[in-house]
Amino acid sequence: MSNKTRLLIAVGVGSLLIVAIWLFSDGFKQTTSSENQSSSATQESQISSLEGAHIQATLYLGDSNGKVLVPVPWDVPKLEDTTEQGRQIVLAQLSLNQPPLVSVIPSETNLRAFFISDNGDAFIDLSSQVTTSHPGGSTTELLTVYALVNAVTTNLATTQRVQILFDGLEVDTLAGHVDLRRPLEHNVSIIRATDTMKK
Amino acid sequence: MLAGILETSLQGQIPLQPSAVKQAPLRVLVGANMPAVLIEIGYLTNPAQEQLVSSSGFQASVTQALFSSILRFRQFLEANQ
Repeated sequence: MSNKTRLLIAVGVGSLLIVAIWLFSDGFKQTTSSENQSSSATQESQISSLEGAHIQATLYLGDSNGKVLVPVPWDVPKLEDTTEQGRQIVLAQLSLNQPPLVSVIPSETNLRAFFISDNGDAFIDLSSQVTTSHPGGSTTELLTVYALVNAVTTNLATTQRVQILFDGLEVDTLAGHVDLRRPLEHNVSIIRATDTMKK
Repeated sequence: MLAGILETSLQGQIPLQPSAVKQAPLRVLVGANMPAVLIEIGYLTNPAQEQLVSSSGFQASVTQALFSSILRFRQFLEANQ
């Protein structure tokens, strides 16, 4: 092999090394960055499509006599995930206030968790203030329980039953009357007759 | 059926405005192996109603309404057996 041939081989190998080093440093970084930018742009696009998007949910307040539930249309942030959507609906229900209608859930109540089981039952885990701050009475208790149950079953198409927990635990009743040991179904009999809507 | 009979009977006997009959999974009724109704007669938090439900005459009227309602319900069951 002549010196000229050796020189050409050395130059060739050197060029390949330089290209390889570039590919695994700047070039790779640029490619990854480009992919990240693309991925980020997609995520931002998805977020922006939901950001500001709302659903009009039907939530419930008590009438001024505290005898029946009155449906109230309310804008709730729209979310892709069903469980997250349910969580937003319950949060909106807990904070709902629209005089002269009255809230039927003690204002100190916090949502600890919201989840949906494999069989489609939803679980609302509330802080214990929902019972310790509750005024009592069978009618008021029915309104409290079914404001929550109906809010979820009306607005989440896939959910037919809801169970209410306190501090992560199953309980017998909220204030002595309504049986909370099992999931409850949507109840139209507690809704003001003129506003009764089928799911 | 039982609730409807009780409602009609109580309306004729006691001077309080009735609430509509509701069907609900009440803890004291769930699991009962017989027709079961929860009746709330008045609010003790209302001073006027507290005074009323404390009177023997009112209590006798309520008792009579419950008794006659149960008899009518039994007659209804026997007639439809």
